[in-house]
Amino acid sequence: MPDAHKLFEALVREHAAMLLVYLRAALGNTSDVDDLFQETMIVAWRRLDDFDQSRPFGQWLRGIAKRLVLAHHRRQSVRPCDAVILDQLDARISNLAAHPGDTWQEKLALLPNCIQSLPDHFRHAVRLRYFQKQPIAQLVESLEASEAAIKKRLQRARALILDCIQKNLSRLGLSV
Amino acid sequence: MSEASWQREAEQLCEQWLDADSPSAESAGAPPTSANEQVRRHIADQQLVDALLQSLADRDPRDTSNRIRRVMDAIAADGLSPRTSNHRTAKTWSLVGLAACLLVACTLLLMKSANESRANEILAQIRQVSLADTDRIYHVFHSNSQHDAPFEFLGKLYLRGTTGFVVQVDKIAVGRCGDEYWVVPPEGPIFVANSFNWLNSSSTRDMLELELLKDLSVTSHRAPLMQLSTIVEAIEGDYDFAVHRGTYDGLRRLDELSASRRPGNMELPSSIRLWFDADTKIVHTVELTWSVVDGQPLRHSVRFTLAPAENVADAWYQHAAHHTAGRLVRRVNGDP
Repeated sequence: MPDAHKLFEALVREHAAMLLVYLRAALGNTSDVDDLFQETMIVAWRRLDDFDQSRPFGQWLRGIAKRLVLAHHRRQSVRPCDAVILDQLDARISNLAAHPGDTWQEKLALLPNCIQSLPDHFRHAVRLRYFQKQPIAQLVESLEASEAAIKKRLQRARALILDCIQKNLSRLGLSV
Repeated sequence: MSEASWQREAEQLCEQWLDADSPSAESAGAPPTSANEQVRRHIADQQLVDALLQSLADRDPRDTSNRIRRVMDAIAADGLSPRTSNHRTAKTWSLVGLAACLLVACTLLLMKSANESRANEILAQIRQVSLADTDRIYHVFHSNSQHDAPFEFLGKLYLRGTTGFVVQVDKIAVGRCGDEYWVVPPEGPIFVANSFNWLNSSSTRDMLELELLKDLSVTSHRAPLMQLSTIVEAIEGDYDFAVHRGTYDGLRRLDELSASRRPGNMELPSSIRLWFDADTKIVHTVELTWSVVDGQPLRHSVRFTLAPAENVADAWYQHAAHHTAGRLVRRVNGDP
């Protein structure tokens, strides 16, 4: 019979990718994400007894992560981050988690299509920024546009991607 | 606050914190925030999509599996155990719930474990068959379309266990004979290397227009993916996989092994499907699909289909069988 460690590891595996997105969104792509990922999972393990099994495990994990993020944010600030922002993230991720698919990757299978459907100049900016990891200063040269224009383009692209995700979820009858 | 006004504020905050190259250095102290809830929700949405894009593009070797291992190591090393409640009723309910969960989880795990065990056994049998020094010929097809476009014929692949292969695409032949790798372009010198690294280097691929190798070589430390044993090895190490029973077509039953890559090595195909003879475990079709190509979310597939057997001489795996006598042979050693 599998022991509690193995069962917990299975839960961790199932929810790790989702939790990493939540932490990255809240903290940015820093080493803090790794630290808080580990801390969240360890707290979850220690408080497993408190877990209400009638509720989704992922939501419970995000609840633990939220408290840790807020405590971390009080000590060190990298991004705008407060309860409203974290609750909004939680709501969005809950909707994404309701999307069909056994794994987080499957639930996000629509993301590449949403990127692909962006107008060329937005898609190009996203590709350079995220997939080629170009800093903004380099994007200014690559795209021959001002820094302000690049930043607006990235924001607009992200808004269109979210819009695309929302439309997909709406089609499936999931609230967004 | 008007819509234009809150949007302007939200954009400014995102510019300052989300898209700055080094936001923490740019502004000392706590990030500015907004009293407006709409602004904060907008920021959250931008941060979420930013994180989703990062997670899609992330090629950090410290992948999710490593993080999970670190968590489990920390739990095991510190002897941490779940805290239990002192309250009798709560504890009873908790134990009942946990027992129910364990029962369901155990059943699922046992079912999963039985299926996994069978799939592992079948993969080991496929591996065993693929290691044999038997010549098999496959037709190679590819598809670059996002949707279900037909596969186009690319060329032929001759395979002999782990010691030999020949790929013929257009007028180029690439092959392996024992420890020697070679490429015969339509003109110019023939290149022979003592490792796959040289052929696999991007400069060589560009020079010789070896587009197919780009997909099938993957990383320099691996043998090329066109060798079935390498595909099996990749599935064992980097994929979650399952076996599905097929139906008889009058001659044989072709079962399917479908594998999905775990997060990590983005160079490997995102999915691999093998159709194999249920009795002999000979692979009839292999389909490798990449969903991200050069960091771009593009679908790209390569398919190998078993062709009728031919008598293949040992010499076929040597470069001399693929060019006229007297052509210059250039030997290159080591890494590019």
